[in-house]
Parts: sequence; C-alpha cells; structure tokens
Amino acid sequence: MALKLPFIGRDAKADAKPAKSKAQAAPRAAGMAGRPLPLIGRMTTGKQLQILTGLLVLFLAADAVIVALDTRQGNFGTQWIASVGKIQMLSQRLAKAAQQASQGNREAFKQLRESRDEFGSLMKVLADGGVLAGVSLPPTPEAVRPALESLNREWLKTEKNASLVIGEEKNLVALGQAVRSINNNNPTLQELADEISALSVQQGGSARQNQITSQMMMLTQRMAKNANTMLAEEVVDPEVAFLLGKDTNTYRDTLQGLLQGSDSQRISRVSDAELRGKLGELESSFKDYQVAVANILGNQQRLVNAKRATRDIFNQSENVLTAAAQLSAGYEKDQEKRQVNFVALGVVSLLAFVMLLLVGKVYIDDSRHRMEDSEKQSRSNQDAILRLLDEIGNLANGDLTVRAKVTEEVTGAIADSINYTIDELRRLVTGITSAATEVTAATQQAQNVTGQLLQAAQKQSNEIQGTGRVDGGALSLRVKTKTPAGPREETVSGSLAQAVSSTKKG
Amino acid sequence: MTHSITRWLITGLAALAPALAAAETGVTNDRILVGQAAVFSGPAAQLGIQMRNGILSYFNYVNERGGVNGRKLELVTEDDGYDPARAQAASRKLIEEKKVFGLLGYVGTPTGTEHIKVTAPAKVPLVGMFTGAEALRVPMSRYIFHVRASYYDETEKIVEQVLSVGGKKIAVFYQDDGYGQAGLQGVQIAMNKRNLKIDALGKFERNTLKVEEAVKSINAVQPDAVVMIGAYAACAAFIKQMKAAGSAATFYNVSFVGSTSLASALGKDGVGVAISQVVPFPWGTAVPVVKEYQSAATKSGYKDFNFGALEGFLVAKVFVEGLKRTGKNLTREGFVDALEKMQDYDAGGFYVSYSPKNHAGSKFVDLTIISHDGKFLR
Repeated sequence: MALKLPFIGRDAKADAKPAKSKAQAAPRAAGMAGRPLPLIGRMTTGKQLQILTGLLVLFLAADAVIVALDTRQGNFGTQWIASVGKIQMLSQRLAKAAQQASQGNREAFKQLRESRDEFGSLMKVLADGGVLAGVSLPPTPEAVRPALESLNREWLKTEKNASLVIGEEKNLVALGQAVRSINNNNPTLQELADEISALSVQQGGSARQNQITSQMMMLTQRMAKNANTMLAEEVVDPEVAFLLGKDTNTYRDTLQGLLQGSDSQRISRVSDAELRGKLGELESSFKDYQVAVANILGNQQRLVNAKRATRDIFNQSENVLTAAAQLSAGYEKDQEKRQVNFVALGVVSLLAFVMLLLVGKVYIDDSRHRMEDSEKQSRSNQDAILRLLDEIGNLANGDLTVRAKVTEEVTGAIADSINYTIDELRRLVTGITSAATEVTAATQQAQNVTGQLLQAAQKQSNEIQGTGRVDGGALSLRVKTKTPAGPREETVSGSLAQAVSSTKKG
Repeated sequence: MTHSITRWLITGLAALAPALAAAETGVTNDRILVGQAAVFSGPAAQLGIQMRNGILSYFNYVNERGGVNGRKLELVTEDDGYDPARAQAASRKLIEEKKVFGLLGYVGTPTGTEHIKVTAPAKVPLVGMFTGAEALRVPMSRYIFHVRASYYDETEKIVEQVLSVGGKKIAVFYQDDGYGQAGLQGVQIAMNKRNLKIDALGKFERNTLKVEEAVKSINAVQPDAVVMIGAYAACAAFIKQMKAAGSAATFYNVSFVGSTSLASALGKDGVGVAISQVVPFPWGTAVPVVKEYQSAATKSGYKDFNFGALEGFLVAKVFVEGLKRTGKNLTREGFVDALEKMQDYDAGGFYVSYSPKNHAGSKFVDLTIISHDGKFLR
C-alpha cells in the first residue's frame, strides 16, 4: 500500500496514455510481453534486473572461457597431430637406419640413435604431457588413450630392437670393416690363386695339385660372396656362416698342405720355388682375410641378433605406422569434440542475448506495470467509493443495520468511521426505546394502583358519608398516593415528565 | 670270331682253375657269393637299405661287364635289426649256412662289435663297415678293412668347424651304446686338444625315440652347437624338440646318421643342420667316382642318390678292386694280402690306402649342411 501510494498521483496523467500504448503493445508482444518471468517474476524489478544482468555477465564470461578453452584445445590438437606425423616419419627413418646399421654403417647408428630418442621423447610427451614446440601439452585425453597405448606397445617392441642394434654398434661396425677388408683383399687373393693355379698346370703339377689349386680359386670367390651375404642379407642363413667357416678352414688347410704336404689331404709338398713364392704371398694375404672372417663368425650370434632385431623393426614399422595413423585419427576425432565448444558457445551467446532481451523486457514491463497499476488504482478507488456509497445507501432511510465493508482500499478508513457512527446511533436508539418501554410499564402500574385507589376512595367516601369524618381522611389519602403510585390523574402527567427526564439521563 | 674263341678258352680255363686250386668257400667258376649283414628293419632300416642299394649298383655294373675274372658277383643279405643280440647269429648264418666268400657293407657300431666276434675268428674278410668307431679299428684285425674315416676324424672336423664359426658352448647328444660312446670319445679328444670342455651331455636308447630327457638337459645350457651321435629317427626327433624348445643351436651329425633320411625326417626343421660326410658329395659330378655311382645307381633303378648308397658303392668298388688284385686264384687269404698291398688306390677322386698295419682306408671327411630347399650344401 505504501509503495503504491506514490504512484497514485500519476494516475490522472497516465489515464489517457495507457489506453493508447496498450493498444499498440498488446498485439505485438502477444504472449510474452507483460507476462511475468518465470521463477524470478515475483521478485522486484530491481532484483530481477540485478539477476538478469548478473546472468548476462556470467554468460559473456562463459563465452570468453569457451573461446579460450577452444583455442587451447585447437592448439593441443595441432601439436598432437603434428607429433604423430613426426612419429610416422621417425618409424620409417628408424627402420631404414636399423637396416643400414646392421650392415655396419657408422653413420646409420647416429641416425638410429637420434630417431629412437626422438621417438621415445615424443611418446613420453604424448603420454604424460610436456612442452613441445613452445606449447605446454597436457597428457593425451582419455578418449585417445587406447590408440596411444596400442602405438606404445608397438613402439616398445621397436625400441627394444633398436636398442639391441645400437648396443651392438661396436661389433657391427667392426663386422662392416671386416667385410670391407675381405672385399679389399679379395682381388689380391683371387689374382694370386689364379696365378698359382695356372703355374701349377704349366709346371706339370699332379692332377690332385691342379685340382686343389683350381678349387682355391673357387673358394676365394665363395668366401667373399658369403661374407658379404652375411652382412647384407636380412637373415643370416646358417648355411652361409657354415660355408664361410668351412671354406676358410679348407683354404687354410689347403695352403698348408701345398706348402708343407699333407697325408690326410693327399697333398704333396710343392717344391717349385716360384710356386712356393706365390703360395707364401697368398698365405700372408690370407692371414688378414682369416682374421676378418674369424671376426665375422665369432660375432655371428650378435650379427644374427642384430639382423633379427632389424628385421623385426622393419616388420613392425608397418604396425607402428598403422598404429600412428590410428592415433592421428584419434586426435582428429578428439578435435571434433570442439564442435561441442562451438555449440556451447552458440548456446551461451544465445542465452546472453536472451538475458539482454529479458532485461529490456523487464524494463518495459515495469513501466507498463506502473501505468497499469495507477490505472487500476484509480479505478479501484472509484469502485470503492461507489461501493461504499452503495453500501451505506440504506442508512439514509434509517437502516442502522447497514455495515460498510472495510477493505484495504482507499475507502476502508471511511467505511470504518461510518460503521462506528452507525454503531453509536444504533446504541442510542436502543436506549431510547427501552426507556419508553419502562415508562409504559410504570404508567400501567400506576394506572392500576390509581384504579385501586379510586375504588378504595369510593368505598371510603361511601363509608364517610355513612360516619361523618370525611375531610380528614381525604387529606391523608393524597399523601399516601404520592409515594407508591404517583398522584392521581393530574399528578400522573407530572410523574411522566419525571420518567422521561430520567430516561434521558440513562 | 677270334675274340669269342679266345673268350671261350679263357672261360674254360677259368672253370678248371678253382677245381685245381681247391676252391674257396663261396667262390665258383662263375660266381662269387658275398654277404651283407646289416639293418633292414626298424628305425635305422634306411641305413642298411641304402648301403645295399649302393653295393648292388656297383655289382650290377661289374656283372654287366662280365664280373670279376669271369665270376659274377652275388649278394646275400641278412637283417640284424640294428640289434647286437641278433648280430652274431646273422653273421654266422652268412658264413656257415650261406657259405659266403667274404662280407661287406656292414652297418653299425654295437652290432659291428658283435659281428666281428664271429667274422674275424672265422677269418672271413669283411670290407667296409658303416661305422667309424674306434672299437672296430683298434686293435686292428687282419680280416677287417675300413673304407671310411673314423668317428674321431669326423668329430675332429666338426669341433673345428663349430669353433671356427664362433661356437662356444658345445653339447653332445649320443646313443647310449658303443656307437654313441665312440662319437662322444671323439668329441672329447677334439675338445681336450683345444683345452675345452663339453658343456652338456644327453643320451638316448638305441632304436627308441626317447629324447625328452636329453632335450631337457642339453637345452638347459643353451649350447651354440650340439654334436649328435645317433641315427636319423632319434636325431630328427631331438632336433625338432630342441627347436620347439627355442634352441638356437646348430646341430652337427656324424655320417652314420643317414643324411638323406635325416633331411626328409626333419623337413623344414632340417635347415642349417650339419652332417659330416666320409664320402664325396653324391649329387655333384666333379668327382669321377660320383659320376660313376650316379649312372650305375640310375641303371639299377635307384634314382635317389644319397651318401649311404655312395658309401655302399665305394665299399663294393674297393671290394671288387681287391678281388681283381687277388687274381684268378681267389682265396680269402689272397684277397686280404691283395688289399693290404693296396696303396693310394684311386677309386675315382676317392683314395683308399691299406697296409698290413693300417686298415683305416680313408681319412676323407667333408662337412655338409642342409639348405633351405632341403638339399645338401658342401
């Protein structure tokens, strides 16, 4: 009541306007305008505005957060995908380097080590997070973990094999050198064997001797071939190593047999000086060769292991590639989650916009409410007055049972006062009525007494007339009647006036 | 015409000669009966069969050309089942019942040691035993001639090869009898010579395939090489089980194993299995005797060349050479004398030498390996 009061004054002024603005606004805003907001609609406008503005700010802040988060996510995704691309490249580089390394290429070991380390550190960053290209990456999200795990499984196998090959660096490089030394020695050996064979035939050596010397030529070739095969081939054939070892022994035994003679080989000692000279040369050339072969064969198991590891790396590289591609796809798919960000951004922005609209609506509604309120107020005042007048209409006709309804409206206080007045009036009238009734009753009684007195007086007079003392008796009767029942006819009117005044007083 | 008359005359004289010279057992004017007691049944049957096929190939070849001094060669065989308990009876049957002139192409060490207890006292010459065991060579018997190198020669070559291809741990898988012991002894000698020790031993019963225990004890030391002294069936079972158990060892067998039988029993598991050989490579043609063997075997219908048959062929060739050198008047003693005088006999790229003090014949050892396509490489 107190809040509305200040607006009352504007009622008259706003009287014409609302009718007009209502006519314009009503069809446009149809359902929404004018209706109070849900939940907060019952609050005060100020409070509503406060809440709505608060929400607007909140939504705008949320927008900003979403944009920031999305940018971050986008950045991570780019880094992750780029890392996987690098991993794919490294898996190929690793396989290639391992192959070269297992053939004793020193440069390849450097590459192999670098590739392995880089691969490993990338995997670590992907798994545990870390700084990459200046971006501090978080660990790979859960959704992509399975793909990362499967790549990691492949990687661990490859890493183990790569480390195995790297661990054999010294031996493998030595092997490479051994084979190179064989290759370097080979032309000399072959040439010497060739000369010896020719010389043996020219000087009429025995059939056995000619056969043996020509066999040496074959052996020289086969040893070189097998040594190279061992190093170059992906798999070390047991037969290659076997033949290399066997040929070297045969070669050594044959040389010794030719120089010193051998029963078991059925070789007789070569006596020709020229031939012996050539054989001596061959023997010294063969020494290096023999050391190289012994080196290769002695490290055979390492070579076999390294080759197996290399082959495994190569075979796994396809798996690594596939797993990496899957991981990359996983990250890309994870990036699709950013669509949620866009949706959230849209939703939150929309909500912010709605808040803005609502703020406007609350403002408009508020002013409209104010107008409507004052209009309603004046109408209700009018109505209240009319109703009051209506209610107390019968009062004029003397109906004292009328009661004005006491409301909160303007007329409430008036009605209250009127009711009070009516109450007082009614009480007065009731008092008068009851006094009149009392007077009537007393008059009746006095009449009765008078009647009785009259009868008695008549009787007395009759008796006096009979006795003679009539004057004295009549005087005492006057006094007597005055006390209990008032005087006789003349006196009755005096006592009525007295009754009325006493009623008045009561 | 003149030629055929001459031939008739010779034949006629030849027919008279034995009668004059109190004919030797198993020898008639037109026939020399020889015997072979070997294994023709059981898990080692192929060893005897191959040997016999080789002998027959050469006998057929000789018989086609008129035999030796007009006498055709005839072979009777007796199965000893690679069972020492049956050996003596088998030899006795050949000598006493079949009345053979000589014996050849015996197979096996444990059986061989029993056989010679009958043949040597009977003074029946025995040429070519498919065994390299020292027990059959020392002490030397006048009536026993070997055509192949000994197991000591083979194991020496194997140990040398194992070491030269970088092998360090060496295990020995052997048949628990005289043969296995002979091979084991050979490895032991070769290792002692180099101040090395055998890392693990495993053995199995002859004519069984119970190799599980040996696999367990040998694989436990993860050897680089296993020298195997056994016959093909058990050796194949052992190799397969070792490979199944993840062993990376190289397997070396001595010649007695039966190379082609081993290769076919192993199938894919045979790759890289090495076998020492005491005869030349039967699939090459560089060695004249091999070429000879191939054409003779093919003619006799044995188209699958193998080491065992070539050894039989060589044994037969040495035996026939002895017969030839003995001459028309064929006696067991004369035959032994002729063989003992055989120096540097070139059987066609394969050399055999005997002397009264040496009946070893050959020291030829070659190493072969089963390649990827199941063939032998040398």
